[in-house]
Amino acid sequence: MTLFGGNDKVRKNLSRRRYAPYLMYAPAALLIFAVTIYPLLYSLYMSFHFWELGGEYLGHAFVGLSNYISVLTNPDFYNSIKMTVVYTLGAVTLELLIGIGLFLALRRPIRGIGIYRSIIFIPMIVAPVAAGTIWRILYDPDYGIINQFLSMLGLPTVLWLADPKTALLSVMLVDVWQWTPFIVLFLVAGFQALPKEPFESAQIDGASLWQELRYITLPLLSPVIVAVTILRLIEAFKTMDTIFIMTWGGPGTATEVISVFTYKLGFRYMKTAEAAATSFIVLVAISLLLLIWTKFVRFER
Amino acid sequence: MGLVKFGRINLKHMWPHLILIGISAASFFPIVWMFLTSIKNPLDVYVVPPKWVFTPVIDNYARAFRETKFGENIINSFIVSLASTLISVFVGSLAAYSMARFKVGGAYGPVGLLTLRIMPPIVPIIPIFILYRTIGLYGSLQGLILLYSVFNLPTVILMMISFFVKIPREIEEAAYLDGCSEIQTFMRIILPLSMFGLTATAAFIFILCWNEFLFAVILTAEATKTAPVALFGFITHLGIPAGPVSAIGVLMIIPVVIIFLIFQTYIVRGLTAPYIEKI
Repeated sequence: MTLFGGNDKVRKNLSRRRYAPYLMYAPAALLIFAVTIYPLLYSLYMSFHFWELGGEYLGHAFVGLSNYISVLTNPDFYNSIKMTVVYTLGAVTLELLIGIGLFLALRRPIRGIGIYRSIIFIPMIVAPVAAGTIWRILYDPDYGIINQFLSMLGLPTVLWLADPKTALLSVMLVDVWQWTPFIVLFLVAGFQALPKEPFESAQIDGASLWQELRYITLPLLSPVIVAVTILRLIEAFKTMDTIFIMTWGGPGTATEVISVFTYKLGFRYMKTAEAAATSFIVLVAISLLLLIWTKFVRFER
Repeated sequence: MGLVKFGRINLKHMWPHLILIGISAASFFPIVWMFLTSIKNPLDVYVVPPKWVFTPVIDNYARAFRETKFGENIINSFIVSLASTLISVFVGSLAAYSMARFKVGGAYGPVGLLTLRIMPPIVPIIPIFILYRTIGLYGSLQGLILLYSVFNLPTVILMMISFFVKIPREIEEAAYLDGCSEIQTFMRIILPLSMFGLTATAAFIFILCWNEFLFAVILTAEATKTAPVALFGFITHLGIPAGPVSAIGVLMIIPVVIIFLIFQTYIVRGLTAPYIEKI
């Protein structure tokens, strides 16, 4: 009796298992569809129509590819691509160089690392808006502590954010400040997950420090380095808030990365449809980055 | 000889600490400087060379609350961040469980989520702005909560999958034999077992919501401004009133630092675990 009852319950559950998982999946899927996929499709529709904020009375006529054409013939668009590439590659390269260097110095277990970790993690959780504000105060040409420090050392002062030549580097350095610790911590976590045997046998074989780094640590860690690089590239590509706060894309268009360019196009010049077209070009670009990522990191689950 | 060796070992042990002190100083100095600026008298802010010793004042904080609606803004931020975190962690965990255990969404589900996760926020905000104005969600806290909840779902799902796959299947099979349905098993067995992952994810998402700026600046009205939007409002393109904005910046940073210090281990693991384990 109990045996049959139990079997019935199991069988009932097995049959129910067909739709219950879908029931769990449905709320997320519906929400993502309604608030992400549908707006994206709407945006695609907008990009092929006339659409200007405040120009609704003009209607939304089908204009074919003309929004895409005006974006692709806009020199500021190419400038923003250049700025995005320089910003992203520049910031991430600096972060990797400093991050890997620091990781190599810190890879052995260190007593009291917890306290340091608490401190160096803090820049990462600071709101980008607040980080931008902090650095605008530090970069101030007249009162900023950085220039005062330079002049104290007898060095020439720099205009930082106000000079088109240094503005992009200045905003990049904020990213470096916020995210280099992440790379260090990521690499340390990856290093600690590595098997210990190769290191032990290297020690027994009397490998030098350089040999150990060159032939064991870095090769074993390369997937972790690749993963953190791609992660950082994607995040840096999205950077917008700090630039918004510090320079608003200026001076001129010296720090106008693609997100800032798109924002200005859509919300300042009210060319909503062109902004939608630009955002689709961005989406294609970022999808290509994703393809590269999935080549390195597999998702079997 | 022994003494020299002792000295060398000591030095060898010291230099990682020196490096760490250096990075800590570089990481922390800007925040310390912001705090010092926030408790300076307006006259002391613009002094060359900068003053290190001064009489601290709370005028900047008082101004932030008296002359602006920063009190309201920070309450808005709390409401939006808390509600969005609860919704996205709950909805996201359900979906993550169905994907981790029952492979709903197939092999490309996680890849699709990743595409959404890496999409720059400027891409969806243009149509959402138009749609929100049409359906009347523009300028409401509910609209912002909906947006934050949904846009953090991919992150929640990807993080929670990495925690769920580690739970041994036997536990769930035992629950099924005892007559639990999938939903019951999830609520009574899986969720309590995943407290670590849930806390990590929730703390992380809360911080993301608290710091979010672009959606908020585009979609909020005067009464629904969040703290980052208020801070941005203080900054003109010509200049920046250093004292008051520092005070606001400090007030914005304090809650996330407290959350971080409480949930540190969770957040650090949550940030690195999903990637480290895949390798």
